[in-house]
Amino acid sequence: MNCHDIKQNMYNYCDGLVSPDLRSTMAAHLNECESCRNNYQLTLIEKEALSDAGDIPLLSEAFTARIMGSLISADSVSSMPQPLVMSKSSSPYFKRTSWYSGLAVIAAVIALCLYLPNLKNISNNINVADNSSKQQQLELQSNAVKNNDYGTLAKDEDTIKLSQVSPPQNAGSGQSKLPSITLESESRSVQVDKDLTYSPSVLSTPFSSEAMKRSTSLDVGRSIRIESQVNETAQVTNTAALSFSPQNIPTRFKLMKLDTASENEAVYNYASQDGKENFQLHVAPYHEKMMAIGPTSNITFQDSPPSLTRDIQVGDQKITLTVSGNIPTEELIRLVNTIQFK
Amino acid sequence: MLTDEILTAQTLRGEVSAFEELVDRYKKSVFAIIYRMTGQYQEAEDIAQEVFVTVYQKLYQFDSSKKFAPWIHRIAINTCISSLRKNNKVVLLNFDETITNPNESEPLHKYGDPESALERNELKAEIRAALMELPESYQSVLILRYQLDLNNHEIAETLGVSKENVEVKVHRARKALRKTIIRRWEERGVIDELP
Repeated sequence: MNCHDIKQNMYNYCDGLVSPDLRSTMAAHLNECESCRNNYQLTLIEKEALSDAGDIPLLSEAFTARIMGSLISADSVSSMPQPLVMSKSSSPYFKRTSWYSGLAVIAAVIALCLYLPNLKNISNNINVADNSSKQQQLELQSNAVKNNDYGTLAKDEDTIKLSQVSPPQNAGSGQSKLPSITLESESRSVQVDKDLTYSPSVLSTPFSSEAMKRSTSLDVGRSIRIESQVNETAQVTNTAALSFSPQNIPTRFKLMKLDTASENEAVYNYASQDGKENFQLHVAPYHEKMMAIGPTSNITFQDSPPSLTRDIQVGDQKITLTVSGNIPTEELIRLVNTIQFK
Repeated sequence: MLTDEILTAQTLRGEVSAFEELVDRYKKSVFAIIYRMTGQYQEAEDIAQEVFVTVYQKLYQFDSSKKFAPWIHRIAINTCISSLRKNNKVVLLNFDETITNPNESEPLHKYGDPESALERNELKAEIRAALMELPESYQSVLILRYQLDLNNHEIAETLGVSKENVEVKVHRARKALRKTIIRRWEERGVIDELP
């Protein structure tokens, strides 16, 4: 072993990270080589200087008290942990995606404007296909397709039909109000937005429950195509649900049931895939403008059963989010702190 | 003794005393990191206070399935770097930008016995001053390894890099420190006084 090899291993040697064999070899070399010995001593002093905390002054006794005082000062409301960051303007998510969202909305509006002439002639014609992967496909066909049968949802024999297409209206000031589409079935009645001014991703929201993973494409031309992948176990007990989807839910949980039967409350029931854990998210009262959630005003915790309630402000209205279930307390807290709605 | 993670949960439930306990547990290590990077007591104390306020405000972002220590130490490093940048006191350089060829390093026998040139305490002060001249990435990895005595896994968790990278980073940081020490000696003419 030459001086170069010794030098290469010197830091690990001084940190005690070399094998016993290498240590013996290096020790023998250091006994004989003055240059490497100087290197060794400098390396040791470096380590000592880096490790020694003797020169670091002690913090004053009042340090902790000063911090706690600053947290519990008159400004404590603003310095409290602010778990729910759902404001569009302040959320980094929205900052990142605002361009894309804006472009999507513009693209959707342009597409619909191009489509308007054909939309007036849309027939009441929907085909619903259910394949083995539980993918439902709704296709609103134009008059060009001469098939007038209403489609049937094979899985639950639920017939879905297009019940209403409102013609475009002149909203004044030279602007045309876009048409609205309403879909109806035995268990669901969904209005595909009142003026179709949203992006395609929003277009599909009213039809499918938030239990569904949606993918939507809007074909410019003679057909509007709405696709939704349905969670096999999800149930929707709502009619005309316009619910928002909770985000940041741990991936092992699946939405099992969404209950918005009460106009003033939405209940999201989640369960883990192994069925051992479950929790409920209550949103009361349900608020359509959930995205504009304001700051947290109150937090309460109940140990048995574990339940965490957080009051949030939406405009002038107070909304209470409650998460309860048989999940670890820490996860319960993290959940209610990080949950967002989209 | 309650774990850090339980204390964070209690803090989020509004138990201020739990956060006080966290401050007591971590003020020493947080201050050590910052003091090593700034070298100034008052500045370090101000930044440390800012760190704990930030920790309190961002506590809801803490993933309680992970350890609290790496999280708070990372906030301490980042807050300190941000503060130093505001005052233009930090050297911006990535680890990979200072890869040196080992063969290019100057032979150490040129400098003789370092203890014979400077008193031991002076030398250690010189080494700490050299540490503060290093790029922030080098400073942080050396402080975590030697000042906080963290292992590779803990450093990796704190800095958000792979465990395998830590050893390389420590090695490069040590070499950069040595170069800085020698440069400082040369600038002060100490090298010439060495045997």
